Amino acid sequence: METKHYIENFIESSIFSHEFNDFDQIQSLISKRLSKKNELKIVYGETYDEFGLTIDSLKYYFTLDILGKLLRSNGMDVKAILIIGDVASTRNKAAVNKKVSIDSRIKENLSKIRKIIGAYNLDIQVRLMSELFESNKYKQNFENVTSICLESDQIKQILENTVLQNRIKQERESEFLYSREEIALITDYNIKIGPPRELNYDNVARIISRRLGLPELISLYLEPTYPLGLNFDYFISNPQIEKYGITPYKGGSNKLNDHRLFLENLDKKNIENLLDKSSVPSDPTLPNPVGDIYIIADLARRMLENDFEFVPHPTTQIDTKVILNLFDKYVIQIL
Amino acid sequence: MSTKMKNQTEQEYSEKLKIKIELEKNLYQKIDGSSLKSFERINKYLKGMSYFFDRNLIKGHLDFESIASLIAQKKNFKVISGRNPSAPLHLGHLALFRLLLELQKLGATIFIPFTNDESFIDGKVDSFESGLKTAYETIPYLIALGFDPEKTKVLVHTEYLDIYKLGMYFGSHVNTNQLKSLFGEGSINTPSKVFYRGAVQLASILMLQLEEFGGSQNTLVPVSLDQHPYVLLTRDVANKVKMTPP
Repeated sequence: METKHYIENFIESSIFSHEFNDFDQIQSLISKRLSKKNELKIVYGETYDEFGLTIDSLKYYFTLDILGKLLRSNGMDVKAILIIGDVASTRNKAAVNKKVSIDSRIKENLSKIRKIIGAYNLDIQVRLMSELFESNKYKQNFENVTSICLESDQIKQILENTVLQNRIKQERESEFLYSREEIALITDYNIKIGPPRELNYDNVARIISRRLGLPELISLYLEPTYPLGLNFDYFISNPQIEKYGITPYKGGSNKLNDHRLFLENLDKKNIENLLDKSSVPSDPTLPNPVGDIYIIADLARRMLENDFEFVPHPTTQIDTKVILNLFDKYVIQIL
Repeated sequence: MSTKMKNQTEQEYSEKLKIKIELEKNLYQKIDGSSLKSFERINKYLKGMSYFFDRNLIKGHLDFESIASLIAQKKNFKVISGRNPSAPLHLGHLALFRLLLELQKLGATIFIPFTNDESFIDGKVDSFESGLKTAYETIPYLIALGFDPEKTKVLVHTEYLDIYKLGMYFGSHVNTNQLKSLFGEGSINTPSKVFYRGAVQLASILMLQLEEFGGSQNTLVPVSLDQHPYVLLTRDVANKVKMTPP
């Protein structure tokens, strides 16, 4: 099979959201880049809370790496970057108020990420937001983004939509500093991988890129992350989570930390318990947190076995015991 | 059927039809401050549990989320669906009874009040006893259809006189203008009809939350679209008397 088909099949697999991605447009943009054989920078970014690294981050690390590898096999010069939002993590008022050392949590997470990179042989570079903020390129981007954002009421309105309601006051006071920083960072990249919750940021980034005459950012949204161990009525009562999921890299997102899995505490019994209590829908368009664990475990297997041949739209209706064994073999025992 | 009864029935039908058409035009828009919500989203989660959900037969809802929660947790809830015993059962009743049966399988205790008082005041029967007889004749059919006797409660209005006392209580939270806009003049043109529609019918639904009927619990009322304004009224009264809105 041509490696270009490998990329197409990968992007149309169940890892990526079919609701939030326009696959035709994405395939067309990637094809154009492939034909030019230029350098490509693909990026994924995380911020953290006081909880540890979640297993959901693995899905993003693996995806970032696989996409990089597949594009390189097509002759592209690809940099796959993982940005750690150390500045954004520590600035959050909620984090400050909790008096938890986010700094030490970031150091622990970094150490774990390095272990993951080593264990799965990932070809991704880790950059701290604080380091990137020091670069002249970023400073120029930030100035440009700020001037466009603050001049346009339309953009300010869109930025309001990027912010969680409990942070809107903080963000308005800072004139959407977090959003401007995020956008200034990502306009420097070509392909961004992220959760669907970042849709609005990316739309603003595209508007600004167009105004600055930069190439359009391609966003690739992964299937949302959903909490484990909950019945279907939870999603009926929480339509926002049903649609966008929870924040994959923040274990305390929506106060659902008891329904998440953390890399520092992968207890098989606890995982089995959460999987058993989770509702698994027959409708593939509905939240399937158990299916997501399968995806993570399967990606981990592929990383170790160098298997990057994906099937478009595969089923994720897999037996829980099978998922647990896969997860144990390719994640728990490795990490 | 007497001419008088025929005219009343036609008038009632035509008024209900007007309300139904108006509602269908504005199905999911604000109606008296409470929007009827599409059932489509919830329906996806319930497919496979009942053919009613598989066939998308339910169009709208209010607060079904709480019932979905009880279904998910395999907990009990109440369903009330009245039967006007003005005539024997016909095939059309089967669809409703089958829905009630499906809901019973999902954990509901089914309450079927027989509104023989309504049959009489609307001129559909000549006496309360005639409606009572028809009500009792329905019970064997319910058993034959497979309703669980432990989770099916029937009540004939005129045999439960407390309903009229309760009606006085709940009805004190309703005014006649509300009734006129809900039912049209033809359906409340006698004191009996005003009392029935403005009080007794409310009591029939809300009394299920009394200790005698198992206490406060979520109550589901499956209705056709033309009854939606009445459900809104009942919910409004429930809020006023600090009961759970059906």
